[in-house]
Amino acid sequence: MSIDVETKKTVKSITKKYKYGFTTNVESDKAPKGLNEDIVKLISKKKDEPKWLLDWRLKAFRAWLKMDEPNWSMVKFPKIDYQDSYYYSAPKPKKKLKSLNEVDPAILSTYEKLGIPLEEQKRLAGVAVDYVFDSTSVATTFKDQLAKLGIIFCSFSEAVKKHPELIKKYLGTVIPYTDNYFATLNSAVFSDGSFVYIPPGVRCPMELSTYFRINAENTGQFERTLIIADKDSYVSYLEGCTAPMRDENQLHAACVELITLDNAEIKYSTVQNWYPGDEKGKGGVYNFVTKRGACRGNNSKISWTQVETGSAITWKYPSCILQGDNSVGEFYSVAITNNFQQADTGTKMIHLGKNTKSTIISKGISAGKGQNTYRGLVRMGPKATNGRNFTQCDSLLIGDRCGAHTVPYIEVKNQSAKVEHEATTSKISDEQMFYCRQRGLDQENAVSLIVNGFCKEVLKELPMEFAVEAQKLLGISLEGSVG
Amino acid sequence: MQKLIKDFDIPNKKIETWKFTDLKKIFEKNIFEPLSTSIKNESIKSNVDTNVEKNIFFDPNINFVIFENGFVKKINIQSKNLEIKPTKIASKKQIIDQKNFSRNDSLLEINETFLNDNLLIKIKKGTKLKEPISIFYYNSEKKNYLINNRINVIAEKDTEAVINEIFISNNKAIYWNNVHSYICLEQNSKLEHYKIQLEGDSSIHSSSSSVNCNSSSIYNNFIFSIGGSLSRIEVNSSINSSDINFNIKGLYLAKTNQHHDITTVMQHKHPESKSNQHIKGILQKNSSGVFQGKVIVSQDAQKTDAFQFNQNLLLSESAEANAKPELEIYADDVKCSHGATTGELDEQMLFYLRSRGLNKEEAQKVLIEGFINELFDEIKNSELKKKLLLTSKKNFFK
Amino acid sequence: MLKIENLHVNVEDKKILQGLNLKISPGETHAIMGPNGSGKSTLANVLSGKEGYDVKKGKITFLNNNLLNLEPEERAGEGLFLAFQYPVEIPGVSGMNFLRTTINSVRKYKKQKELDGVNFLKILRKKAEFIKMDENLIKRSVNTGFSGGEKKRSEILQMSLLEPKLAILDETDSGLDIDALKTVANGVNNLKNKERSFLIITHYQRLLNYIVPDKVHILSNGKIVKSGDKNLAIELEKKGYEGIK
Repeated sequence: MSIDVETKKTVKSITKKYKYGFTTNVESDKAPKGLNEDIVKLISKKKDEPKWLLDWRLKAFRAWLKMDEPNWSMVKFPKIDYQDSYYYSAPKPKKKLKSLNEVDPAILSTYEKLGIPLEEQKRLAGVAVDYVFDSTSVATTFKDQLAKLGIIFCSFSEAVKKHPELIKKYLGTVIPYTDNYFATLNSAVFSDGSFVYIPPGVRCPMELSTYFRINAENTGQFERTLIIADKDSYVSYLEGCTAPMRDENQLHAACVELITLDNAEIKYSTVQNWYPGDEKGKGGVYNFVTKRGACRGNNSKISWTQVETGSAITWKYPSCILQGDNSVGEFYSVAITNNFQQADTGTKMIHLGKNTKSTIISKGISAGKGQNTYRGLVRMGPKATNGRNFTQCDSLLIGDRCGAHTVPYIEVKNQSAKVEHEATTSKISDEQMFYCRQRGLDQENAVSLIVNGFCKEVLKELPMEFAVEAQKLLGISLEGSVG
Repeated sequence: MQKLIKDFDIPNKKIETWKFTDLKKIFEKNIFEPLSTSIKNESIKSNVDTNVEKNIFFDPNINFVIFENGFVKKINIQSKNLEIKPTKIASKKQIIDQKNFSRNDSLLEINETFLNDNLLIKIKKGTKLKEPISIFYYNSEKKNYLINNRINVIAEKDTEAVINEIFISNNKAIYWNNVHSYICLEQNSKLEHYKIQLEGDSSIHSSSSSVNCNSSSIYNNFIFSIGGSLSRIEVNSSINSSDINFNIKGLYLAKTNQHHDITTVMQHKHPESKSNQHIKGILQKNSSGVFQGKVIVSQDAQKTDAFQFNQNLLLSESAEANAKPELEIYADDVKCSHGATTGELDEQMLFYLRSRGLNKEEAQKVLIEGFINELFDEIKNSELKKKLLLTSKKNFFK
Repeated sequence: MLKIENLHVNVEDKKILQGLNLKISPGETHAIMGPNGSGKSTLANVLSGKEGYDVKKGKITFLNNNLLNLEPEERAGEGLFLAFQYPVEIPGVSGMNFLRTTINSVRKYKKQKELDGVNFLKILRKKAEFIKMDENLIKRSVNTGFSGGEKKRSEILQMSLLEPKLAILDETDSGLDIDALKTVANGVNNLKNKERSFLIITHYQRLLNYIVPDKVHILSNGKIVKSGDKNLAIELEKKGYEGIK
C-alpha cells in the first residue's frame, strides 16, 4: 500500500517534470494499477530510454485507446479489465524456496517425466541453490564466442542503450505499432525481451536460446523480441522451455519481429508450455502473441516451428511477408488443447515477390473440452509470379466433448501462382489403440505414441534436444484425456 | 411506417460472411427501387414474353412457373398430386420453419419487407413426379428495380421431384434479383435442384436455398452460375436426422469484369449423414470469384461423412480467386476433409496434349472443357447436360 | 530419319547432356540404356519439345527439319511420338474425345481429311482390340485412375492410332508385369515396318528380349559411351554399368 502511494507521488512528479526532461530518480518496484500515459512514461523512464522510443510508446498508447479488443477468433474468455493490472514492476528476484519439498508435487512429477536433472529442476522451480552447473557462467562462455563473430545477442533494454541505431532502424517495421490491439498494447508498455543481430556472412554456430540469456528471468508479460539476419547469414533461435511455468500474470501479449536480408535465414522454434489452468478450467495464461517475419531480401527464408501445449488461451499467428524474390516462408505447428484449453492459431503467408514459396503444416489435437482452431491466410499478390503455397491442416480429436476447426483464407491475385490446401479431421481409431495395447502399451502411452506419429512432420523440424523434450511433453499434455 | 431500402444495411466487407463480396459498393453507384405492386396489374394483362418461350431450357410440356419482372405470370401444372400456388403476401406467416437458418445480414429482411410474390410448391405424399418443375425468372424492366421473390418447397414423405430454377433477362436492364427459397424434405424424399443463373450482364443476383432435411432424404443440388455483374448464391443445409445425403455441385464461369460468389453452410446436427460439395470456378479477365464453405458438425453428429472440394482456374493475369473452406467440428468419430486448389492450366497436361498434335489453343480448350466436364458428368439427365454445355460454350468460350 | 549432333542440354544450369551424337535411319530400332541420372529422359523430353530444357549447343534434324524450331504439336504432326514414362492424367476429358481430337489434329497438320465419328470408331476398335485395351477404359477420362499397366497400354494405343514415323518409348517397361510387358512389346512389334523407326529408352535389358533392337547405345554422363548390337545389352545385364566402363 505504501509503495503505491509513494509511486503515485513519483509518477505525478515525473509528469510535472516531463517537459524539463527526466531528472528524478524513482525508487519503487511497482507502479499503481491501471494504464495511462503516465504509466507509459514511467516505464520508459525506468529503463532510461531515449526520447524517440518514449514517443513511439506514446503513439502506440494513443492508438490503443482508440482500438477495440478483437472478437473474430473462436476463443471465448471473460472481458479483461485492462485497468486492473500492473504494467510496471521492477525486475526483482523471485521468492526463493528452501527445498524441492516446497514445490507443487504436480510440477515435480512433470519434471521427472521430462527427464530434467535434479539441479535443473531446482532452478526452474525457483529453489535457492548453489549452482554446480551455473547457467550464468555457461551463458557467459557462449557470449564471448558470439561476440567474436560480431553477433549481438542481448536483452532488448541493453540493445536500446548499446545499439540504438539498429533498434531505431528496425523496431516496428514488421509489426507497426498500430497493427492490432495486443501488439499495440505491447508497443506501449513492453517490458523487455531479446535482441539478436547476425552480421553479414555469419552463420551463427549455436542455437540461440532465451534459456541461456543473462538477465532473461522475469521479462514479464509484455515481451518484445527483434531478430535481424543481415545478408548471407543464418540463425536458429529457440524460444521457451519445455518445463511448465507457473506465472502470476494472466495476460501475455508478446511481440516478435524477424527480418531477413538477401540470402539470410532465420529459423525460429517455440515450445510454449505456460500454465494451462486446472482440469476445471480455472486459471491459466492468456497467450496473445503477435509474431511476424519479413523476408526483405531476395532468396531469404523464415521458418517458424511451434509446439503449443500450454496456456488457457493461445492466440497467435506467426506470419511471413515474402517480399524478396525467391524468398521462402514456412510454418510448422503442433497445438494441443486439453481440458478447457482454447487455441486459435495459424499463420499468414503474404506473397509479394516473384517465385516465393511457402509451406504450412498444422497439426491440431483436441482432447477433453479443448477447442482448437487453425486460422490461416495465404495471399498471392498481383506481382507474386510463380508463387507457390502448400497447406496441410490435420486435426485429431480425442473424446467427444472437444472441437477442431479450420478457417483458411485463400486469396489469389496472380494467374501463375498455385495454391493447394488440404485439411482432414480424424480420431485415434479403436484398431490403432487395440494394436498398441496388444503389444503391451498402456492407454496413455499408446495415445502418446499415436499423437507423436501424427505430429512427426512438425517435430522433425525442431532442433534435436528440443524435439525429444517436445515429444515427451505431448504425452504429458494429454494425460487423463482417455479412459 | 413503410420501410425504405435505405433503412437497411446492405451487406458489405465488414460482415465476415461477406468478406470477399461487397454489395454495398454497387449501391454507391446505383439506386434500386423496390418493385411496387401497382406494376403487377399492368403486366398481368399481356402474354408471356417470347424470350421465355424461346429459351432452350423452356419446355411447354412439363410443369412450369413463369415470373415476369417480379410477379407470377403463368403457372402450368401437368403432374398429378402437385400443388403450385402463390400465397398471400399479407400473411407473412412462415410456411416452412426457418429456425434452423439464421442470417447475419439484411438480405432476408429486405426480401420479406418488399416481397413481390411468394410461391408454394407441394409434392404430395408418395408421389414420384415424372415431369420436372421449371421456374423461370424473367426480367425485362428498363429501370433499376429490386425484385424480391420467395419459393417454398415441401416434398412430402416418399416423394421424388426435379426442380429447375432458371434466371434469364433481356440482357439490358440493371436490376437486383433477390430470391430466397425454403425447402423442406420430409422422410424418404428426394429432390434434384438445378439453379441456372443466366441473369443480364449488368444485374445483381442474390439467392439462397435453405434446406431442412429429414431422415433418409436426398438433396442433389447443381449450381450453374454464369450471368450478372455480381452474383451471390447460397446454400444452407440443416441435417436434422440420419441417413441423409446432401450434395452440391457448383460451377461458376466468371466472364470479364464479373464477380461470382458461392457460399454454403452445411449443418450436420444428427449422426450418420453424408454431405459432399464440389465447387469449381473459371475466371477470365478482371473477374473475381469466391467460394466460402462452412461445414459444422455438432457434438451429436457422430459418424458424419462430410467432404468439400474447391478448384479454381485462373485464365488471366487480372483474375482473382478467393476461397474460405471452413470446418467446425465438435464430434470425434467423423470423416471430414476439404481441399482447395487455385492455379492456371496444368503445364504437364498442356504438354501431353501438344505432344499428341494439338496446338496450344486447342489444348487449352480441351483442358477447360475437361475441367467443366468433371462436374457435368454427374448430371444424369443427358438432355439437360447438353443444354448446359452448350450454354457454357456460347457464353464463355465464344 | 533422326540425326543428333553434339547435343548439349542444361536443366536449371546443370549440365545433363554433354555432346550426344545419334543417327537413326528409317526402319531401325535403337535402344538407349543408361543408369539413373545419365540423361535418358532428358533426351526424350528435348526431342518432343518440353519446356525447361536449355539447349546450349548442337543440332537435331528430323526428316530434314530443324527439330528444335518446331512446337511440340508440330513435331507430333511431323510424325514424332513420345510414349511418356509417366503418362499424364487429365480428369474430365474423355479418352474417346481426346483420341479423336489428337488423330484429327495430326491429320489436319498433314493436310489429310479429318475422320468422321464412324470411321474413327472403326479404326479405334480394331487397334484397341489388338493391344487388349478395354473399350470402357477408353470412355473414361484420359489416364485418370488407370493402373501402371493400363497407362502404358493407353500410350501404345495412341501410338498405333497416330502412326508416327519415329516413336520414342521412355521407360515404357517400368512398372509392368510380364504379361503387360508382352502385350506392349507385341503392340510395338506389330507397328514395325521398313519406314518406321523406334527409339527405346530403358534402364533394363528385359524389354529388349521382346523388342529386339538393331543397335544398342549406352548413355553415361550425358554422352553415348559405347554402341553395339543387341548383344551389348545382354553383356550389360551380366556385368552391370560399372563393368562396361
